[in-house]
Amino acid sequence: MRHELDAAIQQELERRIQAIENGERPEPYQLQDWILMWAVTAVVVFLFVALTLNLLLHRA
Amino acid sequence: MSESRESSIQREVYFGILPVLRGERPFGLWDFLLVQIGFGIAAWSFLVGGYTGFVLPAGSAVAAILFGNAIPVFLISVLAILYNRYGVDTFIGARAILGPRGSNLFLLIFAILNLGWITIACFMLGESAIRVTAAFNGPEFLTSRTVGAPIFAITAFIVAWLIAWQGPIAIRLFTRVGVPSMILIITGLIIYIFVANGFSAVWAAKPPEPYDSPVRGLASAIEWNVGLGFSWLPYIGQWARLARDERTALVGTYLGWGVLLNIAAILGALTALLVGTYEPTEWMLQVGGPLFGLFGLFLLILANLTSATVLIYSQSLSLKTLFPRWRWNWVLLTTVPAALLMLTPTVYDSYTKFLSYVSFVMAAFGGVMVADYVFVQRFHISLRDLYEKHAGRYQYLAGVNWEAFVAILLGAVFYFWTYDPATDRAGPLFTYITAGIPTFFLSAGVYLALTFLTRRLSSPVQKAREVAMERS
Repeated sequence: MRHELDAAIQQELERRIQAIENGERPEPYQLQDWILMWAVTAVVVFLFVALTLNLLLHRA
Repeated sequence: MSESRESSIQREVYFGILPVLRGERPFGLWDFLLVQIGFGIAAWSFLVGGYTGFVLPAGSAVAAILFGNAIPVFLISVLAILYNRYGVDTFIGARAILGPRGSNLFLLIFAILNLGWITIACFMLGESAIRVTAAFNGPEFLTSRTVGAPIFAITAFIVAWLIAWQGPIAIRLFTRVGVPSMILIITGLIIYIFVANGFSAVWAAKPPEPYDSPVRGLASAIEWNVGLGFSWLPYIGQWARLARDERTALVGTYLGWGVLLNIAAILGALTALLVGTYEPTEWMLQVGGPLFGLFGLFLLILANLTSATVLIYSQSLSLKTLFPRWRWNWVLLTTVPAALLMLTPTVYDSYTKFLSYVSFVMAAFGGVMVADYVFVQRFHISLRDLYEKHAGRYQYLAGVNWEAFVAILLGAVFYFWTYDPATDRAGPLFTYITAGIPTFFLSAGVYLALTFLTRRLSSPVQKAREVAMERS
């Protein structure tokens, strides 16, 4: 292993790597999580465009 | 398993290098959001909002704040999946992308910038404390910016240090109380501003120090906010690894740092417009009156204490990955140089320059990291190789992924050609495209092109080496 660890910690590290490799991982993200993020971003971009246009039109 | 061994392993999970297993992750979405907001709403968000309202009218200020924070966090939040899936800290996960030595260099840059962030949080706390002291007719030396503010700032630093020493569970308890009260006070202040001044007066207020051209002001304001947005890059891993599932890590990172913290920046912008100063500790009393204003100052103290605690924890945790045999209080001591930076207001007063440098560094690193994780690694890394002595397939060349650093350097050249933060000089493109977000895409594009040219051409050799490694 890359670090010089205490033997017990090194053993535990190996056990954890194996557990995670064997699939002990958190629930994966879902498509709807991305959809939510894209939707929020779309609202932000819409507000940005609207408010920036407002600034530019007032300048003109 | 003996109790002492178990507790030593638990310590290494929360304060060290062991990957976190599924059942050990303490943060559900609500707690995760509270920590992100507690960390995010502090000196930086109030100040960036204040500076934005100093150069732009309300509508454009809100636009710059929302866009400048949400887009960068949206771009980099995909990395939360990497850290959450494998339960590793930012700088262990970054080994897969930058190489082990490259990741250590990233850690060094992060630690230097982090000292600046700790200073800004604690110094604003000091500024708030001297105003509270003055309101209660405290001793004169404690109300001055040169003596009182540093004393309070350093005291706050010590308190934050002691909370960070207790670890993430103590931080979670701290944020459960602190963050909802912060949000209530901020929302109350925004409503109060609109009710007391009238919506149209606030919306029509002229910025105190606008740029010659409103578009140039908009570009600068976006750049400051983008700097804050990208600044979360090295902090994603420390918290995403503790989230219960990938959804919490991904959505929580985006909503917490990209969207919800903007409420504090918007408050900063509105008050800067009304009162004519970007300094929140000044406008709290002017806008809120003696009672609400004092509440506001206590809010700033609480917010900055929370954030300083999280910053100290984050830096210490990350350094522990580099020096795993160091005790937790030794790595905590690496944050002490920040106390020296609190002796004068210099760092605090150079906030926008600091933000622009952060914008360049983190945009370039972010572009490369996201491009690699999404398009080269395709969301899959080898956890074992992250911990291998010679980093296995992530050894690259002498421990550094040179394509990544060439792309980052080219990003730097582009950034400083487009915008020079030291003199606020704008290049020919800055007004149209700003600097930080294009730097992200440029670094990502250059990195992918270099990777295509080098690794694809040498792929048979690489494949043979990987197969040999797996067999051995």
